[in-house]
Amino acid sequence: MDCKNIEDILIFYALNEISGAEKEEVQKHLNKCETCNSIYNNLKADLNIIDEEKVTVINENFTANIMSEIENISSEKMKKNNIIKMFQPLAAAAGIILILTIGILTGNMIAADSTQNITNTENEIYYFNDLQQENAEFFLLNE
Amino acid sequence: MTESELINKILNGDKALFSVLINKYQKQVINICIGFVHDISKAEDIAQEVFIEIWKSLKKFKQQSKFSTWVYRISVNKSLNYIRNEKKYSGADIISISSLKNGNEIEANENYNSDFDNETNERKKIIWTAINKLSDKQKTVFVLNKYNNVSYNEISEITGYSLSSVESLIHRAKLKLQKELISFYKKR
Repeated sequence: MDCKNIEDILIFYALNEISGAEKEEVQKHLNKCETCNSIYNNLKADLNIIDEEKVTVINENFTANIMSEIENISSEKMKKNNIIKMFQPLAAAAGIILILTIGILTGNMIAADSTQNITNTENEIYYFNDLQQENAEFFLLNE
Repeated sequence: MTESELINKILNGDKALFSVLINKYQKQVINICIGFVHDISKAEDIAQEVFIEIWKSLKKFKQQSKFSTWVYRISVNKSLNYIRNEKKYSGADIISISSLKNGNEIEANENYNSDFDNETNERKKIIWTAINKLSDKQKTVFVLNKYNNVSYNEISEITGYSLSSVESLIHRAKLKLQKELISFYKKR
């Protein structure tokens, strides 16, 4: 293996994810190549940072803080529910008033419509009357 | 008490039992968040949001999959959303490896090599920058596997990707990290 081949699999060697003959070849190369060995040491050290970064001890207030936040959320929710409960009878009353108002207005509109229909009928009668006003005798005299 | 019994009791009003679930999963959730944001304080904030989301949506959990799968999925989604929002609103982006190289030179003038903490911090920046260069998919599978030792099968359940896709994504993530890191060492 040359340096290029080593560089292509060095991370897997550093993470202990290769084995057998391949692992031995990398080991042999690192023993004789100072440049690759230096790269390997850096790579290994940088990858170790991941393990060092993981938390092992948690802030002791972590759980308490979340539980207190949850308590706040629950009481906010309860307040909202109480307000809704308080306004429910008012909303129901307002709904009934609205329905009644709509009913009354609709009733008035229907009544107004009926009156207009009667007037139209009267107008039609008026036209018939108008025709009847024509003087038949005068018409015959002209003949 | 099994996890399922615990969840049912919480749903039936025993709110205090939720702390048992928090204690059981807090470390895993925080570690997933750390893998994305690399900051313990931010990770704890996101983890807090994760547990509040779990509390709010517990009724929706059908108990057909493992509870941990559901918890990890919420953790990944919250972390990715956090990163996207950070980029969107603060313009904060990942530190480029080249900018780290410049930083390196400055620190070298201040006897950086003699200071162990500085070296550790430097290594943190290098690996975080390389991880941040992964795509969201690669980062998700890599973080779940490396920061929380989640099996490929469970990652497949969490992400909805096929098992072969998960294997391929992790392999490509490692190759990309290797490329980024080696290229940085050579420039240094």
